[in-house]
Amino acid sequence: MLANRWIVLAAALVFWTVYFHTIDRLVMNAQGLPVGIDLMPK
Amino acid sequence: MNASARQHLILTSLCVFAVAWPDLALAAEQAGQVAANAPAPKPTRADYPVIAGVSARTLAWGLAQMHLYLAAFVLAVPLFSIATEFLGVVTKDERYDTMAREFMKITMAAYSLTALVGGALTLALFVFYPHLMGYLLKVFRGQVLVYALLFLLESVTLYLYYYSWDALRYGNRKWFHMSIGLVLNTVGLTLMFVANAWAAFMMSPAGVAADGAVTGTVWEATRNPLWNPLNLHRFLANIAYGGAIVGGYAAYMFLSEKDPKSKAHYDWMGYTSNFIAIIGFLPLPFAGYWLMAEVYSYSQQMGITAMGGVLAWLFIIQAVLIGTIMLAANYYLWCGLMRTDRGALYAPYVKYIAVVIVAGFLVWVTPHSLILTPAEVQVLGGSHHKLLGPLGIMPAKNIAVNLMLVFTFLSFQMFYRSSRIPTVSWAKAGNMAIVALYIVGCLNIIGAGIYGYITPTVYKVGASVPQVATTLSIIVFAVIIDVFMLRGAKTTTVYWGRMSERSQYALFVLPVAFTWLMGLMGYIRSSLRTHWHVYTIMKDNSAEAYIPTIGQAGNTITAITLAFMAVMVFVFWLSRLGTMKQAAPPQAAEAGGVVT
Repeated sequence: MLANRWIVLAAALVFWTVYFHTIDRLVMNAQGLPVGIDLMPK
Repeated sequence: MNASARQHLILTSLCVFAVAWPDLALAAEQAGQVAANAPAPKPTRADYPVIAGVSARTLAWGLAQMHLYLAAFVLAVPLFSIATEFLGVVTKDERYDTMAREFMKITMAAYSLTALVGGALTLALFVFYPHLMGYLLKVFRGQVLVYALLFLLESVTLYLYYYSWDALRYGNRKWFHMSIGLVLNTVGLTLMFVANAWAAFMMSPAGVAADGAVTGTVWEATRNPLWNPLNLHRFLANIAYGGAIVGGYAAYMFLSEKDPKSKAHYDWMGYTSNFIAIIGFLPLPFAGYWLMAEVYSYSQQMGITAMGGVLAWLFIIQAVLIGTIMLAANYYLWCGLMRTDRGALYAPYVKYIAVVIVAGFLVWVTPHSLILTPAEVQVLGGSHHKLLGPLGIMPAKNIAVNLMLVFTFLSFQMFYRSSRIPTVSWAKAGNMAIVALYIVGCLNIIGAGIYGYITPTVYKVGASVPQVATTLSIIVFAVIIDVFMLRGAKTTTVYWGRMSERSQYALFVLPVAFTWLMGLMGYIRSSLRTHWHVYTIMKDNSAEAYIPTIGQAGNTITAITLAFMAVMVFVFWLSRLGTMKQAAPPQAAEAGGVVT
């Protein structure tokens, strides 16, 4: 059960990282501020 | 005159009126057109009425601010009162209904004062600024009468809502009662939106030519660029403010009452009020950010006056006050952990939250530039301190404020969880998902702030939006996971009333800091017009058309805040007085009177 908990934590960390990265890109682009995959200005 | 002659006269008069009506109407319209086409008045200093020993601006300032405080309170309370009443119907818990009624009781005591101060403000404006008021009437025409009608409706529905509470308490009648409340809130909000249009028009006029001639409709003048940002900001601020004031009332009653049952009730009321204040407060910085962005967008000069000129120093005081609000709200929530037996489990985490809140507070109050003597500049090696430079600019402050909001929410979440034990099989996994959400979310907020240091200004400003989106995401997803995870949870007793007395002083700090803050920010917003009554349209040529020193402004705002607090103490006392009964004299008691 403990192992499961840490696996969930690792999976959740990856999931939220992808989520926030996507949100960051979408929000910046929606403001007319084009950014690349690394979020740096194009 | 006999009946026939009278009929003849009436008929003739009607005929003459019918024939002349189109001409009269046309003449009136032409006169109106000429008046509308006239430019805005240009009063000279001699045109401003003077009453010896009276500072027109300070008087109008004080009355306007006092009216706004009271109006914000009496408009906000019915909003969450009806929400609480609805909650009572849904949960079938009478306590909610009793509390909603008590919220309204405080409002009733303040309502007549609101009208009284509003009347005094109108008189003061017409006496001291007749040209400005004449011009505004020309722009907004019939809307002023609509405002008066709305005010009448507000009064009728407010009294109906409050006094019909017990008569319409159960069954279908309850829904009828809530409908009255709905009408009350609709009218109240419309009233606020109309008044906001006038204030916003003075900052960002629309529907008029460059010389002030009225060229558009009333709606065009109403829907000026700053109207909606101001509407949203005031709506949220009113909710937070109303919550803070009734929280102060609950604390006052908690400390005054001796009966444990009453103490428990007011403790619960204080907790609910604090919750309402936080709910209104969490999105407020974002609404404020939108308002300032629109100010910049409308006039860059106006934006620079606010954030880059003398008024910028007041934003440091704003940071102090907001930090005070955050600390007080969190402290109250931490004290609340003692209401439950499981609260002790969460207590060790409090110190970490405190570190984040205090650190955020310190970053927020760090100024960017200092007022220095040449010698000091020499010692410092420049006008910016090596620490103040990076911490004094917006990316650092955006990190600070967003983290403070996230951790304030965490404090609330801890209290909420302290009385619930999840029973779902995936509870541990759910907790890990929330932990990961907080970790990644906070790193994203910090990362977006650092991003602001290494990208051009436009990206720096743009990066604040993902920070906001992150804060809101953390709150929304944490609530969603909690809702599912705590479904069917085992609840433990919350001992309402088991609360330290010192925690109640945090509830007093909130309304005081909010009142001060509103006075301060209202002053800044109004000062952005600098020497204009209506920005770039109608100049203020009165003797007091200057931006006062920070000290003078601070003293005036403080004096108004103290006056309002005195009014509120009176209102609280009045509300408590209404619940007290004098013991019957001995003879009456012997004759069968009831001694209470």
